[in-house]
Amino acid sequence: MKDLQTHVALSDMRGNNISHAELDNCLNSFSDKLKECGVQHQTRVAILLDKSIEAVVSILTVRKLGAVYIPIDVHSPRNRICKIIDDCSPDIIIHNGEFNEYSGEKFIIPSPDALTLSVVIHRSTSDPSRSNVTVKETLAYILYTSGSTGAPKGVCVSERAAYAFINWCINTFSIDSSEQIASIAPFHFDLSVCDIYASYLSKATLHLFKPNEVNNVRLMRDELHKRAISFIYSTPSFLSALINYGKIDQLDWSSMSKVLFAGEVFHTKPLHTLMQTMTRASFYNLYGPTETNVCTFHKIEKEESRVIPYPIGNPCAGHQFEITPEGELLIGGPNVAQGYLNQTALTAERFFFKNNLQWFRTGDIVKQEDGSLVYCGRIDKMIKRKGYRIEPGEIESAALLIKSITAAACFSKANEDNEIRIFLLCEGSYEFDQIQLKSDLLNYIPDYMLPDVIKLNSSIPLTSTGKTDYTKLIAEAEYF
Amino acid sequence: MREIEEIKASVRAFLAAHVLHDQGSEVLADSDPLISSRLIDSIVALKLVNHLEEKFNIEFEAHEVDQENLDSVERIAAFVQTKLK
Repeated sequence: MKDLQTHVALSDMRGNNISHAELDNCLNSFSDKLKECGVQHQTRVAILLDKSIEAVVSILTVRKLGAVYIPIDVHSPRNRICKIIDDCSPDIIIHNGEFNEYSGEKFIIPSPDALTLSVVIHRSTSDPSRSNVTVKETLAYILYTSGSTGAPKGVCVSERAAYAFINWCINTFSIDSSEQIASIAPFHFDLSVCDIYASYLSKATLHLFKPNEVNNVRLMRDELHKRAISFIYSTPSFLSALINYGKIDQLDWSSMSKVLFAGEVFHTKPLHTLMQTMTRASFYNLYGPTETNVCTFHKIEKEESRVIPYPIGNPCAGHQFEITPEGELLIGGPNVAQGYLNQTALTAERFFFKNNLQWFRTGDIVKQEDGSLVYCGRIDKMIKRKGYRIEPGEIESAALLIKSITAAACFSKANEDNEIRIFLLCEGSYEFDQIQLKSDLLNYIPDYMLPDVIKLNSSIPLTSTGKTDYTKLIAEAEYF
Repeated sequence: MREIEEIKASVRAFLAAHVLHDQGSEVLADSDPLISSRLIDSIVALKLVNHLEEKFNIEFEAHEVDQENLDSVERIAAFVQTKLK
């Protein structure tokens, strides 16, 4: 058993390391400070920090106090950040000082000398008796996902569901204090719940990577190797980029022991290539929308001649499933979220209670094959691109906010390489080019939602009932 | 062709094939931002790095794959030229 005093809890790319003992001291100090600021059981604390030691300390401290953390993507446009903050009405916002509109006290979290953990704590002045979703359970966190009407929606996850998932991770993947875990997923993405908590509770080491670092797969290759990473939980897009552009076959990957992926389909050819390079690793396909975290999984047993994607597997312990006549997967079990914040009607549409379990209508179409579940597509228009969940309606809403655009139609289509491409057609008299349009869109949507193909000042075909004819658009769309 | 012009032409050909499609790459100025304007995303940037390495027989170090060196046709050409020396 490693000595807690020296065993590293968190390590970043700036050479900063903090041991488990030091981390616990930080949590105690920050806990005292946050209590002074009014944080108590179920207080809502928005975390507006880039991935950093400060962010992990903030998240762990908020939970230590039984409060709810709401991680918000700092790289999102201001407009979107404000919509999220208006929706969740946090009592406290912890940020890095770049958000002047949320003025607050600068605080240095007491920590080992070499580290300077600096945050700004903004205390809300709004009415504490704001409207609440009627939540039956103690919440751990609220994660915002793309909303089809243009406003992101907050998925409320209970403490019980969070711990059910975390314990499932630790047990299923035998995570212990020797594990070197790469934190690839941003903290507003539910994969991070495994990263943060499995490492903290097992006393393993979590290596923090920011988005611009993750995007540089040459850098990631060097770091994953240098740090002898043994556990990685990420998206097929990241792993494919590592294979295609990271020149990973030049190195020895015998440290890598567990590779988990989720968020989108991992096509078999690149997956097999990765398995050939990381020969000591076990590979797992994890499935589940934000509303259920991981609800089914499948350990990959390599089939050399397999061409079609591997299954999403079988439900995690304690979970049940049903498939509707239309093929939609319904999941019930301990990991399932409570509902959407401030959205009673939508919550009632998608969530229900049965057999003493919370259930969710996933919107994913599945079929059963040889005792496993296989993913077949969506019943609605939601897009998954590079693991990100994107409602085309959110892109359309953003386009309509731009001057001279009178109508917009957004849809997706996969090219021959199975890459999802997002198309946006705009009607009106927009005076500039698509580069400018993308720039204008970035005032409202994050860059991962930008369309790939844009057609300006074109008329949108309509069906006989006067609705956008998406079927025609998709059939005629040319992709690259 | 001078070396720099050859490199620029190669970059423009890549952009025409991967990004610009119906908009000709002649519309793009040498100094127009590529990454910061979101014209190319991180994956296309990585494809470009692979392309430049193969075409000019050079190797990028991990820290060199960044906006500084890749954000415009002229920056890319200048960077590749230093690698060729």
